[in-house]
Amino acid sequence: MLSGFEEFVRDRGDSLRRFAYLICGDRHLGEDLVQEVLVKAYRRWPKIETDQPDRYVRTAIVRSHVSWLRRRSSGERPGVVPDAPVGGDFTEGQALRDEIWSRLGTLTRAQRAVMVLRYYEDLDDRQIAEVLRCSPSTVRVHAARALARLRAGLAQATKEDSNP
Amino acid sequence: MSFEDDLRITLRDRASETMPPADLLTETNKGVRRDQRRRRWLATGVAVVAAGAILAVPLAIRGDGGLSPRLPAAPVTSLPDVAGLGPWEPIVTFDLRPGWVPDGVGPPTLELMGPNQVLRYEKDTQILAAEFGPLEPEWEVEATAESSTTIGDRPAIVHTADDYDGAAPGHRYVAVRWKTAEDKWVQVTSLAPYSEEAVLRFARELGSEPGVVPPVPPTFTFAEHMAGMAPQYVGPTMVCQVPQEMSGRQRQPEGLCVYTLEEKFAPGPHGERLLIGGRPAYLYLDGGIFDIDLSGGRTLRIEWDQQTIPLGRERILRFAAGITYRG
Repeated sequence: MLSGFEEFVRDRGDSLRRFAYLICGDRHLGEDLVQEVLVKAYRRWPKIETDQPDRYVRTAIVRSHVSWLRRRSSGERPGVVPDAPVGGDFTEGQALRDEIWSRLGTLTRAQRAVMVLRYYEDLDDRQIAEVLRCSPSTVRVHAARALARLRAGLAQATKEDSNP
Repeated sequence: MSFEDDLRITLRDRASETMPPADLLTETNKGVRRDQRRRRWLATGVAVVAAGAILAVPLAIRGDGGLSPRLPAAPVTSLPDVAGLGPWEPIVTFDLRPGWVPDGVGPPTLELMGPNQVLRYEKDTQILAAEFGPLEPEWEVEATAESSTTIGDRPAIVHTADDYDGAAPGHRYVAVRWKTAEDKWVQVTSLAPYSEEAVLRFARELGSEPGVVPPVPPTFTFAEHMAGMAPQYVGPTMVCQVPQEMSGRQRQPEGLCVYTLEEKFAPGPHGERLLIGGRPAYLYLDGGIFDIDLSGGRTLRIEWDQQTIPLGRERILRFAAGITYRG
């Protein structure tokens, strides 16, 4: 294996796994996704290495996950809430964030990707549009719908909690 | 605190959770090796022309002052696990003889992918391939459109894309897949300038000619069968075998594979350097790699997974010594 590639995987692998976990909402899918993208990146490594490899791989993770063919082949659909909430101290804030995490699983893949890229990676709409190969206005639509859906879900959950 | 702030904290909390340990490098390395074998299916075949045996390795092996200078034991006359089964010439046929092929296809080659047979026409970067067998083929390229059709009286799915990795100008991806009445899969894949109509015509006329596409002379031949092993992949530039219990379960090359690399011989740091048939060689037994310098920027590689196919040093040397390569 190329030494520069090996070094990259060693240095950045953990961070990529975490990013893929956020994008997928599922650790195992995230692991598979990172490996798949790294294998493809290896083919082009001499070219990628000289031009922001971390950004390249993160972009590939998002695109690969959002692509319609992968969605079909994996047999998944938005609406699944795959991972259990974090255990531990159940303060109100923690409960809210567990609920938000669960509700992220109800978004479409593109909507979820926009949320992660905007609120975790701190990318602006133009940068997100480049990653998703769409226009900034489409990003804004995804973001608006995702936020509305999350808020509505949380409001519903709060209502159910107060009127069991 | 705004909702967006909570969302931001949620994502950061989740990302900072303790992750279960994973050996990403090892898994990626395995994936890279699988990918290299698999991509040979999409990118090799044309250059193979029988040109006489350039590697017929006699049992003349000696240490070459590498990192592990120990000399091998004297060659044994027979090994119980390889002897007595006779030579092996891996050959393949294709049962669905085409009735029509588009103009400009390259020369045909035949492959065995697990239990599936493959007929490929390849020229420069263009490929037209048909696959037939009990295992469902893969689409190979991400499609941008999908439609339905019929092949004979069988329902079929068509995938297309105007672009794909490494596409030449004017080339597009068209693939059609269906199942025969005998419950076998057939898939035609075109990475070429051919239209969907031409690809579908080729698909519809598969098997319309009597007989089979006959075998071509094998690129690799082996002095002896390895007992308990079955052919898993046979192609113009690669042959793989697996233990019989693993046979027929997957299409992509796996197991004990012999193939040529268009790469200069480059011994790694961990193994043993040898001379085999007068050629520099490199054996990394733990890593399941045995490279032999074919000169001219080419390397013959023997590769296997020691966990599923544990091979001792003597056994792999004996196997290597029996390989004849025409390429």
